[in-house]
Amino acid sequence: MPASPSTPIVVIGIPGHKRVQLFLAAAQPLNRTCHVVDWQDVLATVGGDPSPWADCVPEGATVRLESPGQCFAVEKQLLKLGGGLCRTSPLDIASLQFDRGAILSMHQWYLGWCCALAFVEKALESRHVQWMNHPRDIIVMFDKAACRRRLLDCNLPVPASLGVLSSFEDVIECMEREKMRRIFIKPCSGSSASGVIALQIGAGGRIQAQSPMEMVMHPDGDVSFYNSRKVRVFRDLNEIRRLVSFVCRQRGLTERWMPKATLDGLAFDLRIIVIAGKASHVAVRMSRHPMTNLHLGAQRGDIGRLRQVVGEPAWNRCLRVAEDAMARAFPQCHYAGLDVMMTTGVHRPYILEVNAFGDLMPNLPSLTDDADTYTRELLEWERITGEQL
Amino acid sequence: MTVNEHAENWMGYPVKNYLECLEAREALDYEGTVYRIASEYDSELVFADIFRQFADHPDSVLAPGIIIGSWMDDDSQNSSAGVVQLLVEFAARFPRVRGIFFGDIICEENEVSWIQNDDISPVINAFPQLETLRIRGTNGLVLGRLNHKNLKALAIESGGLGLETVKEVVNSRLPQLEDLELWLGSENYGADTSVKDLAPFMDPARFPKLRRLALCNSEYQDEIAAAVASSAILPQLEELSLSDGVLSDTGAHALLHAASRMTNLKGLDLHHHYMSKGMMELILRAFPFAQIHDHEEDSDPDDRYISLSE
Repeated sequence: MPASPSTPIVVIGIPGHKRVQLFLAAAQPLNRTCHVVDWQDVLATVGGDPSPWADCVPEGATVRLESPGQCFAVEKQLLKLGGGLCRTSPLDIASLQFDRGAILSMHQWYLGWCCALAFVEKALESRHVQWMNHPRDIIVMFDKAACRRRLLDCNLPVPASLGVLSSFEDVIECMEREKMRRIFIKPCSGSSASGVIALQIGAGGRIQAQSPMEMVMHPDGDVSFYNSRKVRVFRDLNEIRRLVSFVCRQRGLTERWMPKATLDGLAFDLRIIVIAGKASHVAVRMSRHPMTNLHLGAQRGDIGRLRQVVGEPAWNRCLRVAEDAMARAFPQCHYAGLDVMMTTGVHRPYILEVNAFGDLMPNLPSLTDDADTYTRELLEWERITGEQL
Repeated sequence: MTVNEHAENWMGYPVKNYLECLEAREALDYEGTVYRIASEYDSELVFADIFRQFADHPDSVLAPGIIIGSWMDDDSQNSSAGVVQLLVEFAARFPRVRGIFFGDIICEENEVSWIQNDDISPVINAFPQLETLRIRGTNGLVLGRLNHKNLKALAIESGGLGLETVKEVVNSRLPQLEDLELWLGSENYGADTSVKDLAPFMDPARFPKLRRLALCNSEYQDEIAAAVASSAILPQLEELSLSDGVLSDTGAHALLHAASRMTNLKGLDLHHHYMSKGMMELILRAFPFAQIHDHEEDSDPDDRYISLSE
């Protein structure tokens, strides 16, 4: 039974987080009531009886899964869940202290996250809920290797890869063998450029890495890795080996470093938010570094200027590729934020990332009107579910 | 900083990417456009295919210039040797080419100090009518015995220009040379010259027709400024560029002192510099046409950097 528009939308997220607040704010003028379920309450019941929170979810309700990020308590719960599934030395969660920016075991976190999403799906199975984004698709989007494979299987353009490699030595050997000497290495389940390395090798053992990671050496010889807001250049082989080894331990996906087109002297890519099959919002992200994330100092570019410089055909190709990706690879998802680049020479589009929670773009007007991403998602959701009635 | 943009206009012509025009089935205008021949990673057409298509077109005889862009195909360490062969093989197809830009490659494609160049002297010899030659990337670069009757403008962009290359230019025979531009670069990337190695470029007997001299992007920019200011070539210069380097009040002071000898000067490019505010005013008063944008504020002289190195 599809829900009537008066049925509340259940948002599973971090209460009070701006993602949740902004979504509630968008729903209010549309007279959609929302019910927020705290990820902490969900995670407390994993493996047991979900009724403490699941009973609040009406039959046929719309469920919106929001990011579990930026909450240390939830992060610990997910790491703990993942720890039981880790084959090798799981992180000890009980003694874990909050350490701002510290990159913890991303793979262990991912395993916990998969476990949580599978549990939520099962818990709500009998209630015939309508997922705005299906939890199984979110799992795929959170594994860059799986996501890349799915896009590739759907004949969508993604950069070439040397695969998921397990050590620094493997990385260098593969780069040499395949003559792919400029690559990105990305932790399969990282986000916001966390742990991403741009690596290049040249003649005579020349090597260089760029990454927003910061390494902190401890007196006992241990090294901790932190997310920072600055992209650093590394030229020391030992430092680079440590960085790359760390990311490889997190399942590091290699990807050819495709040269990005430039606009006014800065390389750029596009964050394209696709809602109900249509590219509705686009942010141009321009950067001096190989990473274009806004928190790493990238700036937003002007869409009009971009379209003028690259031409309408190239612009439209990017939008179409993003829309095709959602239609062919993620038909069960109402929205996502895709990072699409175009090449320097012929402006050929490549999909770099599909972000399940890539729709947090406050104050970004849509391509057609002033509606923000959350408002557009709600309006389109109403239209689609209304048509089903 | 790095080179972040392809040439959009060159020698007075608009520049277009040839492969992009082919893919868009755009009408080609060999006479009114300078095309950049460049390949992309994981592309069906490799550089040689694209170049041959460009050269085999009946209108290639009309092309006024050629820009060689990224030639690397799938390997960023591929050298330009193949490009040299192609240009030599097809030189007869380009009787009107007056300018070649060899390596319009931006940092997203390959940083200047990572570009693998080669011996390009066969190209210089195969185009006797050439007037403008711009080269980016000096790793592996060989110019050979530079002996060219018509070359008017030579530019070499480097993140670290080696003495060997400087010597090749010093020992050249370029009687028509009007415009010389050298990016000296950083010691970290192979720059091993000193100001005395550059003295021949300030000798009017060696370069009698020189009107524009650019010795830029240098870590010893002040010394260059002082040497140029006291040189015999100064009065004949119409344009002088000492941009993108570590130019401070010391170098600027030398220029001020020599202002009365710069009777023909119409352009002075000092952008990306470390002059004080007071000195900037003095420079503008003496040279109203001076370009002094990109004032690199910096309190620690040890932290000063040139524009292009990596």
